[in-house]
Amino acid sequence: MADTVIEVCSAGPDSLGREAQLVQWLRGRGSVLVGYSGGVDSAYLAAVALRSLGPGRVLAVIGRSASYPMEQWATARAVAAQLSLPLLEIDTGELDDPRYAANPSNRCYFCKSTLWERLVPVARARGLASVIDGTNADDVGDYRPGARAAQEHGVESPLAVAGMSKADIRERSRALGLPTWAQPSSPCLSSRIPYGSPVTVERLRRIEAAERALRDLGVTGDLRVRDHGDLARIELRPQAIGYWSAVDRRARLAAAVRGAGYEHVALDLAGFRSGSLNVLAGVHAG
Amino acid sequence: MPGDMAALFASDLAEAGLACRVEARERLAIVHPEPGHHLDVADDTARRHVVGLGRKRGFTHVAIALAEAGG
Repeated sequence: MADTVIEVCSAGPDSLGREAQLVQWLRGRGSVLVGYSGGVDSAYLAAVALRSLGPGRVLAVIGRSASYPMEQWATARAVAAQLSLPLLEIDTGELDDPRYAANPSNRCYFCKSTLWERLVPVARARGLASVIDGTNADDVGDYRPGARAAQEHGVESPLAVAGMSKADIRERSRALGLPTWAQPSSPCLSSRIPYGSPVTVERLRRIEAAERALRDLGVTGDLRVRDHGDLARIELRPQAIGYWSAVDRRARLAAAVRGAGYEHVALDLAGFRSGSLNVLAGVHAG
Repeated sequence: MPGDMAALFASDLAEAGLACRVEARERLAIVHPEPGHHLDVADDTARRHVVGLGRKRGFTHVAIALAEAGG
């Protein structure tokens, strides 16, 4: 939680002004289909779109697959229910694409291509003017091959257009009463598997079970179980490593992750790093 | 050569007082302390030192093995 508070505090003084730009942009489009995961960004975007345009002009769509965490799915549904957000769920099945399952460093391109190939026709069929996603201003410089797929399908990113950073989005989410405002980032489960190592349903289930077991032990905030085959490498918030390093707690971490199906367990000494496996693979932004 | 990197890293750690075996998985190093030795993982400075030694040897990630007994 401490990390999140710091991030909110770093929001610019004019996050409300940027939100006004976002509202203006949405009203200019008139109606939108939101690619919706229930994460911090897409939940905020859907909420603002709903407030700006009304329920008849907004449709949030969840793309379901094995790489989408069940916990995230539950959150997405709960937030949509809280907001009375029109919601549609579609199976995407990106694991059926061998180019995705081979897990190249541009894996996200194939995932997002599959997603937008399914969602763009839905928007057309329902007469929605624009398909939008939750890419924010902080994402723009990152290595994100999925962004190319969005571009190719004409998907727009109004949070980035309005210059809204993650900190802005958290701050405004809190102001709007969204339960997602302090939610840790939760990229897809495939992001826990090193590039070049195949993505399978079994591996995704094992990762999800290990992370759930760690949450059940009381691990909070950013957490990743990186899947290195028979070895699980746990990344905790750096501030949490001290607490979990007591001998009895380490044993509980190890037992929880072994219970999910890993033979060996290790604790990363640097702790959680977003894009950690990009570093391992030598993939850089730009 | 991950094997060479591992041996050199293990040697660095031994000089720093931690007798251990280092297992290399590409650029990930897994540190297995010898029986009777342990790294004070709760100590930020000690942890950063170990990570720094690993990076000097070419590892991008350094992790400590969690044994059955929590070692």
